[in-house]
Amino acid sequence: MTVFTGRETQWLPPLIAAVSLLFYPTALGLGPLDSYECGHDEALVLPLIVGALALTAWLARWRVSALALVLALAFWRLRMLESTNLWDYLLDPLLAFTALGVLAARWLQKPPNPPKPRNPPNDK
Amino acid sequence: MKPGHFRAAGVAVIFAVTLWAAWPGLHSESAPGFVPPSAAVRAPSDEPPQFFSSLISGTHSPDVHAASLAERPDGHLFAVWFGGTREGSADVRIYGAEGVPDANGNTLWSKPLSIVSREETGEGQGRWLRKLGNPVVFADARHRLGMVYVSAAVGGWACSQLNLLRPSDADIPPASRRLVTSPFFNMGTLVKGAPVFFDNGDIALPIYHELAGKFAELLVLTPEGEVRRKIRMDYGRRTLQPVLLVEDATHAIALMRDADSHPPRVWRSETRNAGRDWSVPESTDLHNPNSALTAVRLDDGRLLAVANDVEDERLRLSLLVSQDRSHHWRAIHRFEDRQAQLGVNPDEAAFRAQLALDIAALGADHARPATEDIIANVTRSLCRKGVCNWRYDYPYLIRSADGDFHLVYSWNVSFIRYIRFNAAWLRERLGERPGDAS
Repeated sequence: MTVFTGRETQWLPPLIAAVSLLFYPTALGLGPLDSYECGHDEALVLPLIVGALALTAWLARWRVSALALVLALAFWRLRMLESTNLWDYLLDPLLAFTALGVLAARWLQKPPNPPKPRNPPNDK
Repeated sequence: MKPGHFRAAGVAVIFAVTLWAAWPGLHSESAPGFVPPSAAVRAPSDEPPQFFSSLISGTHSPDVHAASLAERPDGHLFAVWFGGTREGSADVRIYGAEGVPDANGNTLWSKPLSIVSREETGEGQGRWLRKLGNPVVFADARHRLGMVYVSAAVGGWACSQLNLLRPSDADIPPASRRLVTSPFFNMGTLVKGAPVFFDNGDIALPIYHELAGKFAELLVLTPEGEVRRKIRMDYGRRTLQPVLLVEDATHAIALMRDADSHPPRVWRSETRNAGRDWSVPESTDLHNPNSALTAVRLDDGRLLAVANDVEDERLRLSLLVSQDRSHHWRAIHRFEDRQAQLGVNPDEAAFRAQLALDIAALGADHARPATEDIIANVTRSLCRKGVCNWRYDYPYLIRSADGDFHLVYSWNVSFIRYIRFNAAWLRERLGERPGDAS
């Protein structure tokens, strides 16, 4: 049994990168809405969304993602880190940079377009 | 276990963990209100005006800055500041001193003692820290002293984090704890203004973000000092160092230092729901050269501020009053005024001569360093390439339960000047007669 399904490996880096690009700028002051505040100690909406995502991942057999999300929720409630914010259990800059790095590596490693076949000479 | 059962078990676990994690959110108590300001004990109206000044930071460190103070339940004061070779140097420590006010308007200050160092802060957290910065001391709803102070591991103050220190009951050095307030390596948060309190014991600490942008925020801590939540007061790059002025259980005004606007003015914002939402900041008419200010609210609703009410440099420190909830301000006293020197930039010799006169004008004070030591330190800190300038900044004002006002500020980065004045002295400055409301 493989740990990651093929689709999980394919889609996790872009998903994490997309969430990071939406999360970090707004959390650090771009615009009036503070995304970081959605994860505060008595948050309701974000843990429910995370639970729904975990459920979706589990049913889609993305087992690693499901486990990671469930552990994030549990560790948050158990205050395993110094932070009281759920976002700090879901995401960190190193994970975000890794996801972006994986995307960059994939883009750089894309095979160049094969040369177009030349039209055969027109034999009259 | 059959695959179907395994899957079902996973679903059940996910449901259970999600419900458990979201449970506090389902049961959060109704939002608390501010503790309304309590009227200060009225001093007798025939009490004479009293004004007292002393230097409290001693001789232990050349540069001192960012003092704050709090009143303890026994009426004593406790002041803290950071001091070292220069701002941001590795030897900077947080120092503190205890002040005992007497009935004649004087306050006797203890010798400063070291509260916490950079190494002690780092050791307690298992981290290496590069420097310490602004400390804010407060007495919480249970009358326990606490202190939140800034530290940075890398880079400048933009990469700062907050630490909380509480005196320990046992005879061991207290350990500070870091407060996680930002998702990007916990960088970018600083503190300057005094906290206010909610009626459930929570602490509302005005903070500011300075990593990517520059904006004011409100940090809500539980009585035990855990981060409950953080509320955005602004965004972008315009405000710093908010000061909170509570009017009643749901209304408060925030004054904020200007980060870089034209013309440079103090910003104001209001909340009508005990800090959960804040109005878009608007300019007041109080000039602000991108420097810290402080303010308290009088019993009759007027606001009293101490600030550099100029557009450039920090050559003047004034006492100002507002009668319209901070939109307009009027200066009623100058604690320091070198504004005539703006643009003059005296050379070192002229500066030293002027400084000697300034020091003499502060009056005799056995607790302060020798005049030549002060002059040497000030010229080292404030002279660049032979051109010098004065600097009076980072004021911090509180009102004690007996109605007196206590102010600390940085005097040419070389010592912390403490000033105490009473309501009668303030009435004189306001042009009022004894017996008028204050």
